Parts: sequence; structure tokens; C-alpha cells
Amino acid sequence: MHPIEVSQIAKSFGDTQAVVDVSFDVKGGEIFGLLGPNGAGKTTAIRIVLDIFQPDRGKVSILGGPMSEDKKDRIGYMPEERGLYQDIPLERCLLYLASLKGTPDQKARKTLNDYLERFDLAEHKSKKVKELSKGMQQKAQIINTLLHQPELIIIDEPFTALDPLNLQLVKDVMQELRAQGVTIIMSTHQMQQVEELCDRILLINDGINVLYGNLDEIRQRFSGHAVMVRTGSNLPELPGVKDISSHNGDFKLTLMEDTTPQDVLKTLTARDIILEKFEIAVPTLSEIFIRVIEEGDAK
Amino acid sequence: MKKTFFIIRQELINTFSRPSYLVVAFGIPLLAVLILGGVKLIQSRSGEEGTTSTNPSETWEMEIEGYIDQSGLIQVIPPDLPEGHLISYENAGQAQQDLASGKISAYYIIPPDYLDKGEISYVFPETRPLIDTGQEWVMKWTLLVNLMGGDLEAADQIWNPVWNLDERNISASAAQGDLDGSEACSRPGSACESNDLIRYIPSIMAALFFVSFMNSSTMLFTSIGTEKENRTLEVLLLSISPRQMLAGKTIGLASAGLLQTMFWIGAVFIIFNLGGSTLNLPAEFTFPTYIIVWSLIFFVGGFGLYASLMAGVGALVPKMKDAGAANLIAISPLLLGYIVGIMAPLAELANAVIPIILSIFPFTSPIVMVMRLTDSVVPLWQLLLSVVLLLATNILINRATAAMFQAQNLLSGQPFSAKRYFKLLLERS
Repeated sequence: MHPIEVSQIAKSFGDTQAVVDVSFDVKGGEIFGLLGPNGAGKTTAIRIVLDIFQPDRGKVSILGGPMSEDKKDRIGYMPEERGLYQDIPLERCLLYLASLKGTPDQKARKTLNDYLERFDLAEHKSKKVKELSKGMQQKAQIINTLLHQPELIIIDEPFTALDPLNLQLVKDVMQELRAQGVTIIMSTHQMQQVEELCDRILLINDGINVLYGNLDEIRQRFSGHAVMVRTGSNLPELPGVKDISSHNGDFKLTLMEDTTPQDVLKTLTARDIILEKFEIAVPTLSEIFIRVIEEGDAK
Repeated sequence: MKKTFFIIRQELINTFSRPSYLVVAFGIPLLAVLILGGVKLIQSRSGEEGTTSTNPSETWEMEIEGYIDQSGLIQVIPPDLPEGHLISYENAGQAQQDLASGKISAYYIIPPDYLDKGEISYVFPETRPLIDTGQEWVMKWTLLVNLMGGDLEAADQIWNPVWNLDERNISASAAQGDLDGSEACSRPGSACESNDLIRYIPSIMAALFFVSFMNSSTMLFTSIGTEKENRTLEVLLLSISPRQMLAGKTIGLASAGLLQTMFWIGAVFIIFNLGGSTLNLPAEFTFPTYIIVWSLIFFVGGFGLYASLMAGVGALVPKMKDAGAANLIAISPLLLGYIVGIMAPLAELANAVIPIILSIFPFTSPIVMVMRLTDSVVPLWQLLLSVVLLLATNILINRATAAMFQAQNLLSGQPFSAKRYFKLLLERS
């Protein structure tokens, strides 16, 4: 049984159908990307998974069954909008929220000090939350999600307001947690981070699954029948190549149905064309996202 | 249970670290008591220095004065006056000389036609510093004793013909079952017509309770509203149940509110019980302790009720800035209780039919019953009925609000609707 199993959930608010039909599983110890354009139903789906909202239809199993009060302490959740008390000192705020997660005070203090050091917030722990910069508040929010050492983390837009150094720090922490067997669901619009971190993804649009599965497999599925080539000179017309287009100094060669990349490589070497780069053209996740959402190409 | 305790603790810490709460809850009553203490201290010191009483039978350090009796009325100096403090002169020349030398501080001239006109003259030096006009009674008392032919007892009776004014207010006395009304000013209440301060105590208590309810229940509303706005609520809902959250906040803020009310009532108790002569209260006046006990019971009941109603509004209002009209709907019965609580004792109608009904009706009883308690003796059956109804309403409204405290309502962006609010209240209760 997977930590999360979601089957055909639906949810409406008045006349608005926020989630129409969404199903997915999240395996233990993986980083799972929940993607979609604004208003696709991601946050509602997350709230249904967390039992904050009751679905109109469908089933959710979390950590082996329906949500219970005990399970809440085993889950870390970071909503997109910061959920911290603005008017109280950072340390007090985080310790209070950890106490509500059932973390013993001494353990919470020790873990908190470690995280504050690591996230470079130790010297700001006595400041009120509202006195911290946006980036610091984001890091504090991440610490709050991790402080009670949950086995399942659901994190919405974790990289907002982070500079490159802190972004890398958060990615490192997430990878370490995965290595420790912690399951992470991450919702974000930053496709590059999804490509770097996620094992599997679910792309939803208008409340419906549109793309779901292993990230590498999905990219392969969308790779098309093309190769990327970089040479020192212009390319002539080649047999078996339908189209040649320029992409940031490289050439993208779209192949005919019966032509393989090996055929093209043989042709190029036979013509003594010096190759600086030759690779199967795999689209970025951003490109896949745009193709799926704008062009409705879900393969 | 442990998590509820953490919420209670957090609410208390948040409240106690708010300067506005500290000033209102402790600063104001403490200041009032300190001011009273200061005034009493000054009075007791000046009392020791002794020149304030106007009772002719008392003696103290007096200025030496003279008199020229041209009417021939003064035959005796009252024996209760200190000897040598009123010197007789034959003529103005001698008196003027002694005045100039400082032997006397002033002198009176009682003209021959005094008995016809009742006029006398008082002569004092131009350079005389600020005088204590309190000594004029010495000559008045001397004249009175002589007018009575030296009969000190008769003069005393004329000087102060009423030693004890027994006031009776028929309606209040009847309500108290105290038809002779002899104790009207021995406790707070509008029946005491001779002392405005005692009469105003019921209205003061009604106002105090209204402010206290508003203050405490607004704290709960603000706490929920702030958590909704800064999205902490979403994080909290994944740590605790909505009911735990409501219970923790209500108990925490009720404790803070109760403490504030105890300080306020305590200050009222101290001020009126120790104020005595400083506040010009009759010697027999006391602020009964049972009023404090019943008031605290009604505070807890009233807070529970209005905090729940406000929490329900907090659960349904998407943004704090839109909450004004919604809050007004929740507190409108309290406003009615406040108006009746203030006005009824002033109109001496504290025990009329409407105040009696409103003191039993649970949405107004926390104010109106406290007003009636401080106005007169309330029959025990009315008190018990009022408490039972208040408790029952508390249970129903708390249950309804707890049911409203669902994530779906708490995180909804739907605008507040009074219709939806009352529908949920009625359905869930």
C-alpha cells in the first residue's frame, strides 16, 4: 500500500467544479510533483488529501487508511501562503506549532536549533516573524513543516522568494529527506526544480488528470522523432530528415517515420560533417507543460 | 487534551503580552484604587492637622478672634468652645489695636439691631493670608446658644435637627421586601436617593460588563480572523481538530477576560467598601460579596455565549475588514441588555417587568441580571432560572458554533450572509 492513494476524487464549491476527476498514488520515499496551471485544482486536491476538505466523490487513503487525528502528527504541510503568526517571535512561533504536532519540547528545541543554524536563521530567532524578509519567512515556513520530523510532507511552492543559494539548500534538504525514506509531494510552477527533484509527476488541468507517471518516461514520450545536432557549419538537406530548425545554436532535425537517429548519424559521418553534439531531442518539462495545457497534447 | 492546553497557554501568552490588555485589565482598576488610596491618605493627614470639621461639639486648634457685642445678646460663651478663643471688646478701638498687634486674627461686630436684621460684621486685616472660613461657625454657634438663653441642648437640636435621614423608595423597597426602607443606602441600588454614587452603581456594573464582554469576545473573533488571514489556520487544521481549536481559544480568552473582570469588580468592591467618607458614602454602606460571586457566574455564562456567537461570525467572515456588520448582528442582543442595564436604574425601573424579563432571557441576562443584583435583592428563583437558561443556551450555541468550525467554512472565501449564519446556528443547535 502506498502512503497516498487517491481514487477519482471530485469537489465542487457552489457552481464551481474545482476538482472533477483526479486519481494518483504516491509511493513511499519518492518526491512526487503535483503540477498544473493556476486554478487547475491542485490546492483543492491537496486539501482533500489532507482531509481539510471532504470530497464530494472518490476515495483517499493516507498513510494506510482514512485520515485520523493521530496521523496529522505524522504529516508536514506547507500551504502556498505563509501560515505563521506574524506578531510573535520566530522561535516561539515554531515551538508552539511543533507542540501542536505533539513534539516534546526538548526535542523540538534541539531540532529547531539545528534547522535554524542550517537555514542561517539562528540570529533572527528572537525577531517577530513580520520583521523577517520574505525569503527568511519562506525558510521559516519550511522549518515549520519539517520540525516534527514527519514521514509524509506536502509542500506547496517551496521555492518562492528564495535566492539561488537558499534554493539549492532547500533542494539538498529535500533530497536528504527522500534518502531517509520520507515521502514528499511538491506542488510548484518551477519546472526546472521538478525536473531536478521529482521521480514522478501528476499534471492536472481543469480538475482532471492530464499527465501522470514517471518523469523520464513522460519526457521520452514527448521526445518526438528528432535529434539535436551542433556542427561548425550549416547543414545540407539530408535523406530521412523532414525538417531542420535552429535552436540556440543547435539544429533540431525532425526525422521521417522510417528513419532512425542511427541512420542520420551514419549519413552525417559519411559526409565528413564534424559533430560537436548529437543527442536525442528530449523536451523540457516546461515545453511538455505548454504542449499539454495549450495544445491539449497529452499523448 | 494536551493540544487544547497548548492552545489555551498560547492564547494567554498572546493576550498577556498585549499592552492594551494589560492597561485595560490591570492598569485602570489599579489606578482607580491608587487614586482613592492617595485621596484617603491626604485626607487622613489633613485630619491629623485638624481644621476641617464643622461639628461645634468638637475642639481643635482655632484662631483667636474677638467680638464687640453692641446688641447685648451674648451673655455666655458656649462651654464646648476652647477657652480664650473668643475675646470680648467694649469698643472697636481696642479690638483694632489687638488686631494690629496680632493678638487676635479678626473680630466681629454685632450691631444693636442684630435681633431685627440678623446682620453682623466681620473685620480682618487686609494682609491676612488665605483664611480658613471654616471658623465662622464659632460666632454662629455662640449667637445660637445665647439666643436659646444658654440652653446648649436646645441649641444643638436646632443646629442639627436631623441626625439620620431615613429615605424610602416605595418600588425598590417593595421589591426588596423591605417596606420600611431603612437600609436603602446600606448597599448599592437606585433606592438610595440621598447618594448619587450609590444609585449609579447598577448602571456602572452594566456598563462594565458590557465593555468586558465586548472586549473578551472581540479578542476571540480577532484571534480567529487573524489566523484566517495569515493562513495559519490551514496549518493548525492539520495539527488539531476545529473543536479543539475552538475549545482552546474560548477557554484561554475566557480566562483572560475573567481575570480582567475580576480585577474590575475587585476594584469596584475595594473602592466602594473602603471609599467611605472619601466618596461621601454612608457609614453603613457595604458592597455585598454575593454580588461578586453571582456576577462572575454571569460573566462566565455571558462570555461563553457571546464568544461562541462571535466565533461563529469569525468562522464565516472571509476577511476581518468585512466583519463590522456581521459582528453587530451577533452582539445586538447584548446592546439591548446594555441599554436597559444603563437606563433602568436611572429611571428607577430596575425591577419593572421588562428588566425582569431581560434578566432571565439568556442573551441579555449577563448584563441585566448583574444590574438588578447591584440594584436590589433579586429573588433566588429568578437567579436560578436565569442561570439555568443561560447554561442551556450556552450548550446549544457552543454546539452550533463548533459545528460551524469546519475547514470548509473556515477556509471559504464566500461572503458573510446573516441568513446563512442564523440558518447554521439554528440547524446545528
